[in-house]
Amino acid sequence: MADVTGVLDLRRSPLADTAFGVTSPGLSLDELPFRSLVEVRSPEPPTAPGLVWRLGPAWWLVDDSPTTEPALEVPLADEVRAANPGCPVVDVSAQRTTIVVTGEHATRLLAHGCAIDLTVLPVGEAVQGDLAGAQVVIGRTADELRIYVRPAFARHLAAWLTDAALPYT
Amino acid sequence: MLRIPCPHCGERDETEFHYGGEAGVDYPADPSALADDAWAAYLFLRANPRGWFRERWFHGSGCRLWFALERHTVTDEIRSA
Ligand SMILES: [Zn+2]
Repeated sequence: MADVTGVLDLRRSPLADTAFGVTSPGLSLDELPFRSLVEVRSPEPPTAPGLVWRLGPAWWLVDDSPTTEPALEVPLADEVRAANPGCPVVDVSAQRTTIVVTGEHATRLLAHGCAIDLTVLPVGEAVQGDLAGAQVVIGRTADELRIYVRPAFARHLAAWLTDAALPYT
Repeated sequence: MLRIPCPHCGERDETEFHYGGEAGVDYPADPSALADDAWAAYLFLRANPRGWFRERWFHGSGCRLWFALERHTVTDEIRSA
């Protein structure tokens, strides 16, 4: 087998070298790069590690920690495939990058560019829609909002978020 | 801006959707048997009412599914179909 040591170090996340990030008492923004993301088609919620978001009828996104080994497909895909026989499972890790928003102003910040009322989004649920003109998935965990955005829109969204965050920092 | 009720995602801005024209226009069962004018009618002729119109919408930014609703072409009032 070819030597793949260091291959993972060659990856560049969509927001690398943009100095993106906000840290303040009421609001913080950060990119969470290289998450293992897998889409599943299944009428029922799939059995999977990590976060499981419902994207639509029979459509799910699984979000788990980044892979530690270079591979054509993230190991999470096979894991989810084995746990959900008969359900199509596709590795979509490179399709989106993840932005984490925390703090008391998180929903207010996104409201500047998103017509979806995120204050009523329950923990463990996600919505798909437009945020500042970019198509995104927004999921709520117990203490944060996770935005999944396509690489081509990531720098635009990061710039918009940084600008919109000014009053809250 | 219309607010469109997606049956799967709830009410969203019109900009998240694509318009799909009149609902209920089925593909002909045997297209090769159609005369030219019947084929042209299938392709191009649509109702254009002044009033309630049943039409298709695609929620491209959300659930990525097609659905039908009724819209009033004068008032833009919307109701489920
Ligand atoms: Zn929808």
